Amino acid sequence: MRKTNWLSKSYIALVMLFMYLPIGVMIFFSFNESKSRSHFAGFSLRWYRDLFSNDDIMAALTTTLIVAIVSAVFSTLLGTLAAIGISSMKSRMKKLLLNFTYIPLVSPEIVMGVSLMLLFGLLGIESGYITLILAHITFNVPYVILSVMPKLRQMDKHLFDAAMDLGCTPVMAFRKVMLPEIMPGIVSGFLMAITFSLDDFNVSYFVSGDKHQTLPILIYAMVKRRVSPEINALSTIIFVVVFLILVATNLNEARREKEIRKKSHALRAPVIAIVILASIMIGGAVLPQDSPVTSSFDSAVVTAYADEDEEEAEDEEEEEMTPEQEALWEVAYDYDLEYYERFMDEDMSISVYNWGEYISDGSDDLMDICAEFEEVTGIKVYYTNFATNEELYAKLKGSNTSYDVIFPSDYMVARMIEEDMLAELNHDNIPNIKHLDPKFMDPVYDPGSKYSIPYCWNTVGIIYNTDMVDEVPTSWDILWDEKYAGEILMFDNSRDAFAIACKALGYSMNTEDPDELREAADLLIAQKPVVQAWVMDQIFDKMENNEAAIAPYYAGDATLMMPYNDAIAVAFPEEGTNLFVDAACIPANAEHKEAAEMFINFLNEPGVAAENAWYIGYATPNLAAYALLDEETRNDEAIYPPDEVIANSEQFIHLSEETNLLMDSLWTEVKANTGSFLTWGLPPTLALLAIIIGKYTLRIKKAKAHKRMAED
Amino acid sequence: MKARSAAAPYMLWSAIFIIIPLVLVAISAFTAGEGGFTLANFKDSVEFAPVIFNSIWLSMIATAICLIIAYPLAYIISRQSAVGQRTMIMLIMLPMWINFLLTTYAWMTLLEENGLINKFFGLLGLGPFELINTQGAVVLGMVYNYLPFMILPIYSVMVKVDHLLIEAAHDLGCNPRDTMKNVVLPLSMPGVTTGIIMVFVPSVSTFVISRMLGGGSFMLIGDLIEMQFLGNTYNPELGSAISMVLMVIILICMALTDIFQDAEEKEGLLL
Repeated sequence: MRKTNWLSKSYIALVMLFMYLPIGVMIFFSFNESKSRSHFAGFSLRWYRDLFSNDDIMAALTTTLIVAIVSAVFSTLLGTLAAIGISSMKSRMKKLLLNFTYIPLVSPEIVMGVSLMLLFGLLGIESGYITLILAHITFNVPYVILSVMPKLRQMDKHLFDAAMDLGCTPVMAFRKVMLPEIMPGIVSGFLMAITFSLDDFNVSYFVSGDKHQTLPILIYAMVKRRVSPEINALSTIIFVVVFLILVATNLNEARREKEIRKKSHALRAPVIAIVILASIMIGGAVLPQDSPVTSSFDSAVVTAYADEDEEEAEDEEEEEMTPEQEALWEVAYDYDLEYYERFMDEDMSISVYNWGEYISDGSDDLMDICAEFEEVTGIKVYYTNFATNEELYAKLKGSNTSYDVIFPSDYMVARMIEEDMLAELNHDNIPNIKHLDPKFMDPVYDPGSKYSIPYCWNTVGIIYNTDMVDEVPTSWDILWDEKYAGEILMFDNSRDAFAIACKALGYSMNTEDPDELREAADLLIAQKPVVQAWVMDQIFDKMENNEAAIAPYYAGDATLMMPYNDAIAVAFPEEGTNLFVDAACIPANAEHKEAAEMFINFLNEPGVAAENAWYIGYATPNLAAYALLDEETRNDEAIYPPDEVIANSEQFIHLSEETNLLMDSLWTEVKANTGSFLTWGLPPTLALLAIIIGKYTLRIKKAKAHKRMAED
Repeated sequence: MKARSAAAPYMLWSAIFIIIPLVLVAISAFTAGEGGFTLANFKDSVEFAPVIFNSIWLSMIATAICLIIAYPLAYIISRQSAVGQRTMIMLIMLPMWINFLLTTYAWMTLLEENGLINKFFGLLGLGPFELINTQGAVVLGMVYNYLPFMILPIYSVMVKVDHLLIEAAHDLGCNPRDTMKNVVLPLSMPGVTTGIIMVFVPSVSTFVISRMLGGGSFMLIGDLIEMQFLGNTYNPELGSAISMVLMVIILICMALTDIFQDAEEKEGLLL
């Protein structure tokens, strides 16, 4: 007996270790001094402090709580009524409805998300609070029904009738007799609804819009690159609060074990958790913050100016600054207030949809551009991220969201123009157009710059780790080199991946020849054994932490990795590479076009554009901003590549519809290809067969046993 | 009886937000890009058979592992004192309050080539092992995230198994193994089937875990669907067709576990 006890204890301990290991990691890194998720730089509470001044996280938390509470209330009402109704039905109908209730419970969340997205699209309901709440109610109701039903069944049916006989109205009988009986079920259903709603990602992902993201969606956007440690801090707080409450109620209960039934109390805990969480949040938001929005902007100006009183240790860039530059910086923030304050009192807002980490956000002592814009114009900015051009396209096509400013790349601009997805810009509303390099103002993808204003440009290079790669990659072929098997990262988007394969084969990256594309696809399939992972912005994390040696990526991003890892370098292959331009555009269905133009204009204020260029690490097409940049940045070949690289590079053009479709299906084939049927098909088929056979032999056996018993 | 009509709002709601959307998916699956009826989307989805089979395979493994871990655990817990049971269940439910994206992200930190687990092995002079970006990592992610959904239903039937029954079996000469086989196991079957569904369905349709832990190399059905609707290749009609295929797979899975036959017995099993 003792032995088994010891065995089961260590078994429990092992499972608990497994369950709490990642949570321990998360909590541990919430106290990390640096942003890294794998290197502990020292103990710090800074993320707990920063958490409450992070508007994105706080807004997402608010949305999450509102959606959870509203949808839980509605689904509890709906579900309780339904349970009462169902339980009074005849057995056949009852069974049918109960089985029906199981559908949302057992159908995959992704199908529910997708199907609701189609419904809302058809009904023309704009994605936002409403769609989120409707979707959450839909998947929550079954949980309520299934926790109220058993209580109804336990209840004596005659009690209700007795109450009526004694003169109760049905409502009164319900309130006085039925409700107290089924209350524990209702409460536990409500709490389950809240829990599932707070945690839901899969359904919300498909129905959320541009303005209101829930916390899980925000986290998902971060996971693509790096989860900001503030999220770890927030989760740690949630964890500790829930933990303490559970412990407290548990102790409390243990004390009065016998008198009270279990569930109703244990489950009150999460409600208290939410209340405490909400009060922490409100408390944190109300507390005076030591870094008001403008201070980051001021300090940026301070570092940019050559201030003589500054300590000597200050940036080198100040010393490099010429007197002309100083003069330019003096006027870099002279906003035309008459222009910018036009919508000051109109309570207007715009939705900006941009690449991840693609606008200066107040970190590294640079300007928080969205906050600054809000300050200057009084227009609220809702800012969300996408990861690839194709995702941007799909989002605009598929869901009912209207964005005001988007940042597609060259070829996507052309595709959107062709499909009438963009609004024509009024150049008079964007006076700062005068600062832009004429070289970029009449591009092939948008003749006359009618629909787009260039935002950044850069080239694709091979980013590599000099400690792990002892040659300078001069050719794309290195991405197929078996010497680096398992150390190579690859673009997780069709256009960039095919461009590399085409270039390696000596074709144009804009080829429309199906045979050449087929060849490129085969080359990409042949590359699979040496590729460690297909990623986009996760490249940063992996390269900085020596997880991978080689990654083709946007060359300017190498400059952002270098501060974290000295061994990072960038090279340009001699077959030629891709020069891309990302441009600011306004979708055709934008709600506030003039405000959107104002935002684009603001991005091209010399000082704003210069700070943004520092932050992003790509080249700026804004000449006035370029003039403000320090010598070191301007001479950085990763950002402003040598002329021969530019001369040798190609720009993406918009491909025909057939080519796009072909490339899409080839890409899916590349990603999905896993060898012959023997490797992917046989094991699951055999397992399925085994299950079916096992099941039926069991059933036959049972039937025989029954028969025998009947005979006896 | 009037009480019956209380279910009417729910029925209306389900019709609008469950039935109609599913019908829309079905219609879209049979629609050509330019409109009109077609079977082409289903023909195209045959191309993705490797993805579909692979998803089923990985989720089957994950479900089996969950069952193997959860069953003894649920049994052990159900034999504890009341306080012990509550504490254990609390400890199992607590991780569900941390968003699964964050725990999966933490697994990345653990599994990486220079990650914590490999560092630990390094201290013992072993490794480094290739842990992340493998099928094993994807299965691990599924097991980690959905294990509580296997433990809880099994536990809730186990705890209802009458002690007297087990004692009776002992008295009638059953050894512990026979008791397990002939008494506990059959009585806990409803919990097991619920658990299987609760783990298999989210595993087979996930699209985040495979991307984070599999490095984009092991596409699952969920990835495929997400790619067609909001991802790299925009083709909602094909995505709908694949969604239909996924629904069929899940219906087969449910038929195999008999979930519909005893729906009524299973109320309240989820908690």
